[in-house]
Amino acid sequence: MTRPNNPADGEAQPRIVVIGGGPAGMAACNALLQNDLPVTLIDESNGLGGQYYKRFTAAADLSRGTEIDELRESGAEQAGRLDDPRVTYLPNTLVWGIFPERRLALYVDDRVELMQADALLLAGGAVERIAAFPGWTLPGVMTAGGAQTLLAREGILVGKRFLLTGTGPLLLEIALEIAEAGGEIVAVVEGSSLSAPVRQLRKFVTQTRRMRQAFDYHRELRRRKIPLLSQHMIVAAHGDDHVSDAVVARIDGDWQPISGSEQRFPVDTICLHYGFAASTELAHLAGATTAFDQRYGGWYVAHDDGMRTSASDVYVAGQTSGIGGADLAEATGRLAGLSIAHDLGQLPVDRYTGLAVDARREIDRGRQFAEMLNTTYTAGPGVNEPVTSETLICRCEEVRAAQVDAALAEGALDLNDVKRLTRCGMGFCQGRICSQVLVPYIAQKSGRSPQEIGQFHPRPPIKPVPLGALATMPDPESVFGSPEPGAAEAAAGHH
Amino acid sequence: MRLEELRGERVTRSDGFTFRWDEQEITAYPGETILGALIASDIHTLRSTRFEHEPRGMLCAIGVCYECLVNVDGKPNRRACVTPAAPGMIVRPEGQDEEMRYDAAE
Repeated sequence: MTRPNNPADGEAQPRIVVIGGGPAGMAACNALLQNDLPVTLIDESNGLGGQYYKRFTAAADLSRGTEIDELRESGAEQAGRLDDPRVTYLPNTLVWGIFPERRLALYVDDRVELMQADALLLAGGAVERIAAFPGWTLPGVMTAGGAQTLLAREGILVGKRFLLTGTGPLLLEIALEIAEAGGEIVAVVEGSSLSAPVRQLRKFVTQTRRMRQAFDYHRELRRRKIPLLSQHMIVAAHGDDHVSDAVVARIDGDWQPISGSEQRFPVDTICLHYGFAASTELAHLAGATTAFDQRYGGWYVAHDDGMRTSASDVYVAGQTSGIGGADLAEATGRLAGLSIAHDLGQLPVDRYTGLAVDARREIDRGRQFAEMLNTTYTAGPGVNEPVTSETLICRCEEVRAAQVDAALAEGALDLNDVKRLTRCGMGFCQGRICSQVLVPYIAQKSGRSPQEIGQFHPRPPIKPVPLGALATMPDPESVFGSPEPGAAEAAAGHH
Repeated sequence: MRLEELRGERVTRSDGFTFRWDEQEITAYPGETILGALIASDIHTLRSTRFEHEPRGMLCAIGVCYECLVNVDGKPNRRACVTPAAPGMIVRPEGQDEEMRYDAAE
């Protein structure tokens, strides 16, 4: 594998860097290869496929012809096409900083390296949304995706008696995977009403695979006698050093719990899933504008109809460009790859236009479905109602709701005011978890919109990098050349 | 719990090995993370918090939340969910020392 930094080789090819090896990043790389452009693919994990395809990797040597197998093969096929000498693949590599002119700071093998990107695609995906309630920090309370990851990646079931709660079709999917693996599901607790998505689904009768999936999930839940409580949510978890039971209540259309409707379930595992939030930290560092739209799942990286962001030569694809399914992510990745090839003069305008039209048609189709999911399955303003003054909001810095309330009383208006006053978002996770809780919490307390509340200002390193590794950072001038081209020669001329 | 079967397919594991978790010997298999091996041994509390010493376990399992921080062979604040288990490793729960600071991580 080629080393990432070799400024002396003077190659004429611009360096195209794709961050994220999920469906979007892989599709972009394939589009670039089809246009004979070499690409550097950076991924934080140890394998290709992202969180989506990695769910289908367990026991990959066997097959039984199901849809899961089809998806597994599709992921393997896409990854296989990237086994190409023109692809520089850097796994286990964190991009922790982006500096002006798309200068990237990487953390790999306990070292820091620097890399110039001439064109940069941000395809870092999304994080799962969760919600806070008394007891949500107890061991045994986790994201539904976390339980699914251990199951698919390692064949390990995290508990025995499960309750899944939140909103969205993924809850049903993961509940069935856990049940199939032998876990007991005491209830799937869905905040939305069941009739809303069914009414919406009629618009998508032509999208047969999705229709079939939705109905299959419900049929399979009934067959397995798994109780599905719609318009309910979790209001508390109890336990000493591990969760021992969950309290669930009925909610109204605004997700306000209805008092007196509480039910208690003895469980050892509670799985939370409230949809996804786009990972926009790197876009902020790259100087790309973000926007808020519930139809896109909240904050996302703004882009034109060719996936170009507001920052020059910075592109976006996948969940980071708006929450949607893997098909949508692949289509946006392909379009971004085509746009990069076109903008670099490698793809003539007539061919680009034709190919882009096809990709956009697929994107429009995927976006319509995603918008239905993003608006139907979204927590209402009452989601934080169970939070008491003692409930932790920021798990890393152990900030309780009372401290957030005090900051708001002191005049904090937005997320960054609350951060300065309380340390919320300053810990290890850099606000990835507490921002999911804080935005609706502040909105409910203050009446301000998510746009007004804003996003945390990310600063490098966006994830912790040990000081020992920072000490290995090469001299930026040796990688990027002199700060101003020609400056060194001009200085030399004076002597 | 380690599954013998997943989606009707046998889960194959090559030879296991052990690592240390505090005073315990933990069995792990190639391809498992520290988190996976601990959970399979029914260990769910991975650290206690800095200020209030509350127990914490896994949350996201994909390296985002930093809840599953453990000390691995003397290196503090490693994410159990993305760190492969290896033979002979010495893993300790994080939060027993006072210096668990993100800016002091080494």
